[in-house]
Amino acid sequence: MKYGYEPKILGFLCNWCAYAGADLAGVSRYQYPPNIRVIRVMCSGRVDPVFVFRAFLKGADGVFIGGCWLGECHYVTEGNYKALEMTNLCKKLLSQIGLNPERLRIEWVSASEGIRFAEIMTKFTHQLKELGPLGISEGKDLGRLRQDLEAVERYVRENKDLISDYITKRQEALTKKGQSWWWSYWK
Amino acid sequence: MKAINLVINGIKVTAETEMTILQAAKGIGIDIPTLCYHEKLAPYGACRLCTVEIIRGKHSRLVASCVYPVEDGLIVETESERVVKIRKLLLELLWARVPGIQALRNYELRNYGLKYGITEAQAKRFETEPTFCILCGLCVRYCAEVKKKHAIGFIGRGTQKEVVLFPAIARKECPGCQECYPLCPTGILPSYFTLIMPH
Repeated sequence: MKYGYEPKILGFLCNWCAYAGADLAGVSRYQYPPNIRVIRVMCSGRVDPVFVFRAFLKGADGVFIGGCWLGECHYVTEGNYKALEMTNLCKKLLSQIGLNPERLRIEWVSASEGIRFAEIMTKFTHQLKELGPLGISEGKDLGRLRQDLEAVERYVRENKDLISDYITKRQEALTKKGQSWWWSYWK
Repeated sequence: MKAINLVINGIKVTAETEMTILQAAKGIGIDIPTLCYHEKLAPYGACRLCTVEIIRGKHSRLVASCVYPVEDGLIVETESERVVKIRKLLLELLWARVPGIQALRNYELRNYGLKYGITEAQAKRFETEPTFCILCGLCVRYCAEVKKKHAIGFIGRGTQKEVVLFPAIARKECPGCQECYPLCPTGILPSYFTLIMPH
């Protein structure tokens, strides 16, 4: 089963950092597995929980979110903190329906880190290959998996206001923490 | 070891010395809500949610049951009117630090709040800073007592108190451990780790 299986990865890359990083990896001719399909977003904070679950519903084996490094978002809204909180929430929801939360991954790639992007993609693809196809490796019935994913997708769609409010509040708390005086002192 | 007799919610209980009221109540299946209590760790008494009323003669007191040792002839009420009133207030204060918790399932803090009939609108009357950390100290104590790594700790005093990961230790120890993540009652802890990752 594992032999000859190629995982499908859906990538949401931020226009300013991760997408430019991926571009640089391509221009510099770094080799990395071609399993990722990229969707460019203006900021990683644009990625909604609905996107993630819809991606899994449409047959992606893994979802990758690439953003700028924390504190280096190109917008004053610090969208990458938001993406981070969104990812944590989605990971929790994924493990609740019995899927491996490792299938969703967030990484920070700056525009100059072409090598890092290639490395991350190689690692992630390798990890997903080890895991195997969505649902089957977790021992879930495929019909049941579809039902569960649809249920979660509906849940995040219907409670959009609540969830986005929650994510925004957490993002504010984190941003504040990431900018406190001792934080920069330690970094 | 001497046996101690006490009464919890009208049920006679025999406990041993050095047991706490919480442990004695757990022994007979009485559920007292707790957030900062963990079997592997020493009692801490931070969340005060386990507050119970103890009656000695005519007087009654409110104590945190997770740190109060059992005494002979103690009468304990875990769900009296006074206790419920104070527990509601405590839950509202905790909820004020975690806005939007009502939307999330599988969190103890949320379930306790719903059990005692708290709403988010009620909690909003407190102008606490929403830090998403209720300072229960589970992660800090787990790292210090069980893992003995001290990778996470408290910084600041009073209202400025907060939980931080110490980058020098955490970058080495945390990636392979992460045992404190599921302990966090609000689930903010994984994000703290991402914050300190090297650039």
